[in-house]
Amino acid sequence: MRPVVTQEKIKNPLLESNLDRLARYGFRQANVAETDTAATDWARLKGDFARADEAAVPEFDQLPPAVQEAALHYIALKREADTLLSTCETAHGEILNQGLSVPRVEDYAVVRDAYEDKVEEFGAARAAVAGLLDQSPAA
Amino acid sequence: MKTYDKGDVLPDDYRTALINLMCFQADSEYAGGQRVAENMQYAPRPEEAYRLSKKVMEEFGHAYYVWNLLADLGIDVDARLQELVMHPDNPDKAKVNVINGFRKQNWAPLFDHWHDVALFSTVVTPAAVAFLGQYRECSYLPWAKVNTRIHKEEMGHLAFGVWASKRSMEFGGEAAREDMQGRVAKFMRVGLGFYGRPSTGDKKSEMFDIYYEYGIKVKKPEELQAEYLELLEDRLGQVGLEMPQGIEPDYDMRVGYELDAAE
Ligand SMILES: [Fe+2]
Repeated sequence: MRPVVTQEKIKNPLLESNLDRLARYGFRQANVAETDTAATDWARLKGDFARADEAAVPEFDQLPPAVQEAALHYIALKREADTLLSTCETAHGEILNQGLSVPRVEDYAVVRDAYEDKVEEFGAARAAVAGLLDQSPAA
Repeated sequence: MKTYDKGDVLPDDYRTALINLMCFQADSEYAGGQRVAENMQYAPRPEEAYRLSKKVMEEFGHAYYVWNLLADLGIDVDARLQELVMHPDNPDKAKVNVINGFRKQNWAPLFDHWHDVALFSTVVTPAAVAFLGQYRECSYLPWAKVNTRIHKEEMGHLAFGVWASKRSMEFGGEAAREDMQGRVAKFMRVGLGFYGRPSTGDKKSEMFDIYYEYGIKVKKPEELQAEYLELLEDRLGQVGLEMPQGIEPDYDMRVGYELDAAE
């Protein structure tokens, strides 16, 4: 039998390694959705709220219920952004390996817009959590 | 001004000049995206990191739009993309046209902190907005159209710079503001040098007149600089930083006229 010849895929190490920096917030960790709790997600993300002049940001379990609820929304949006960013990365890989073309670039523009909208929502959710944290008494 | 659309026969000189400028834009948009990706290392918090990767995705998109137009003009654009992906640190000058400022050896020394990343989008991006903004009115209509799309997103990058700068100060207080003020001048030199030398006087660029006549550069460097300074003053004001005085442009960061003349 003839061996199957597959063309070597071109990789994009610069993009990959720099997106890996999002791993500290849970990006591209395949097991995240299965094993992580809101508490571990929150622990990764709470730096978004840690101003130098303020007391430490409480752990998830210490948050008042209303803040927990807003935090869960914020965490969910971050996970959705992760998924969309992975889709963008796949689209880059296709353009690189199959070639530039108008349909491939327009497909990319669609997923990229979706990612960008999600980041905007994530930012708004972050601001909502920050507002609630400012109002809630220190834990 | 005579205009051309997709599929029109282009005069040889026009075509050469157009392809040159479009390659500069496309290749530099991609390289710029790579530099922004490298800056992910400085993102101090989740929202900063996710917003910066949004910018990376946009810059790559800008390159793709312009490369698609270049493919219509018979350019092997996949070879350009591959060169940049495989040799991000030092792509071959014979294969791609990346502006000096977006080559890693010129870019990386300007950055050692997130404040630099925030300020780049506040202080240098207005120059790119003004510079690329002119292509919306250029004589090659497909390129004008794509740049209208790109310009909208570049305005978004300006907003990112203002957001990131303000947030740095929210988290870091007066110490952050002082640190950032000290970093403004080095980026302003880049912004001022972006357009190349003035269109008159002994140091004028030889290529400028040719591009201007063809309607593929629509504004003179001095007009672009005035637009830049107006945008810059407004954005610095929004974040509470002062505009430094007496800053000399760094023309080594220009978008390539003299380079062309030497070729
Ligand atoms: Fe761009």
